[in-house]
Amino acid sequence: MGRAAGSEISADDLPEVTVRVNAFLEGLAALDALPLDGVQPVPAVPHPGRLP
Amino acid sequence: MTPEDLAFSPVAALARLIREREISSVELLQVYLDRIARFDDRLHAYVTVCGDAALDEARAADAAVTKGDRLGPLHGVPIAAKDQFLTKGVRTTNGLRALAGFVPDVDATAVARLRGTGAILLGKLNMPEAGLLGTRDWPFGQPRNPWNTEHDAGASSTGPGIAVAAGLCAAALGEDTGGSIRNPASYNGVVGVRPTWGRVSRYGIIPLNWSLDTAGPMTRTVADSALLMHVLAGHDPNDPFSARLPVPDYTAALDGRATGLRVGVIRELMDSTFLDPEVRDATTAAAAVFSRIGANVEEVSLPLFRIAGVIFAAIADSGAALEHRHLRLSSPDSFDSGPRRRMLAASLLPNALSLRVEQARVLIRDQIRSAFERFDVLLCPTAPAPAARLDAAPKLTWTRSDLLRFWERGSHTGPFSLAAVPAISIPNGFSRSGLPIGVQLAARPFGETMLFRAAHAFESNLASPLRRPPLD
Repeated sequence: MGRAAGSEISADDLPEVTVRVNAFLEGLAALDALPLDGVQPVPAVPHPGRLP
Repeated sequence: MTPEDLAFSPVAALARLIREREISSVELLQVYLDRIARFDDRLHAYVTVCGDAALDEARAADAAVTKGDRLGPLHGVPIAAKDQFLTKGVRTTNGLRALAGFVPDVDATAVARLRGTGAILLGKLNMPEAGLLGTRDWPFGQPRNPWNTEHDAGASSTGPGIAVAAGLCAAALGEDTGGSIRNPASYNGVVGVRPTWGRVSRYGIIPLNWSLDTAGPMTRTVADSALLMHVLAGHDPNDPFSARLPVPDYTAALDGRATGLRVGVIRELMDSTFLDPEVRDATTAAAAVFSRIGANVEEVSLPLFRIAGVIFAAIADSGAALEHRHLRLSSPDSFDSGPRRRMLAASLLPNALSLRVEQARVLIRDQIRSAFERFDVLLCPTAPAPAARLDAAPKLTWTRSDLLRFWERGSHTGPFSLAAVPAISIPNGFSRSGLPIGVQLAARPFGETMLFRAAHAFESNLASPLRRPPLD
């Protein structure tokens, strides 16, 4: 996965990176309970009516 | 007035003293330079102190007073900026060893606006590498909390929080992605404002995450923050997402009253198992202050706050991994292991999952904004606990429980960042061990006037007196 993302993960970094990725996957499992169907993932322009 | 009294005076009062020639800008600058020389070896608030350059600016400011020139509201007042803001002719490190020799040739717009109203750039302030919490070996010195130097000073506007609290500048410019102004404001007992995203230009801020980064003031009083916000806010052609809206006079709303204000206390953050009992009590007392001064205080349930911390982390860390991709790939060892591993992990999240995280952000934004149909401001603790001891921080490798605690902390400030609404942290007393506690208020988009009005009313009616950290 690291190579696919363009990153080399050293042996020193690997244990903590693994813990972090697994924690993300565990924490983000909560998304399964949310009504996400049909939600457009475009929050990056929060005030479209007030911007140039 | 003693030098210490001067150092801790409000910005507006200092500007008036300079304008009326009761003190000179050079004299005031020297007060801060003396205090930096005396205390900053221990506190590590500053990365760079602009001694000679600041003295030149202060002499020019005094000459303008003598000549009777038209003076800006911050004329001659020494202000410092987080080292994430580009500063013309002054090195800008973003907390990174790799940028230790980087000297920009432009000012960030926020810096330029402060200078344009007469402020003196006193120096650049310490921060974790690239603004990422979890830095273990701070390249420019381990920052320490001025209230107890064995404790953390918060992040990532760490130096600004320390410098304002310790009277090492008149005010500071901070940057907030997910709590980076509000968290150190809370830990150091100062006021910190995250404006609405788009209210202040991001031009010249070394980015952490483009859709979350904001610039805002850190000060000792709400009135000082309102004054600085009036200078900072406004459209900037260099930032295409800065709003084309008029800038109100934020100080005009500060009447110390909250009659009829509708305040919603966020249940999920008061019920959290991670919440320190002293912080819970202080927040309950803050809600009682609002009731006593005529506000209508009710509890409000915002269930998505329970999972907002991990959603914020996934978005913010992925953005940081992207922003720093080139340096991360070309020179991975130039990063401390903490930030490097944070960015590596975020870079591995599958795209399909990242899109679902963005969908969840939309739901969080809608839930928070819908609450403002019933409430003028939302109220909650800025952080779940007072500043931890430095030796309690995770060491070489973070564990799952470290991460859960870390994300819980982010769930107090991160949701308002995700929703792009303004929020403020205000001092709310002290723990029994003498560490500051902060309370956070948030308002609807571009509702800074309401935010300052509510914060000022609270500050004016808080029983706890203003204190100064025990530095001697």
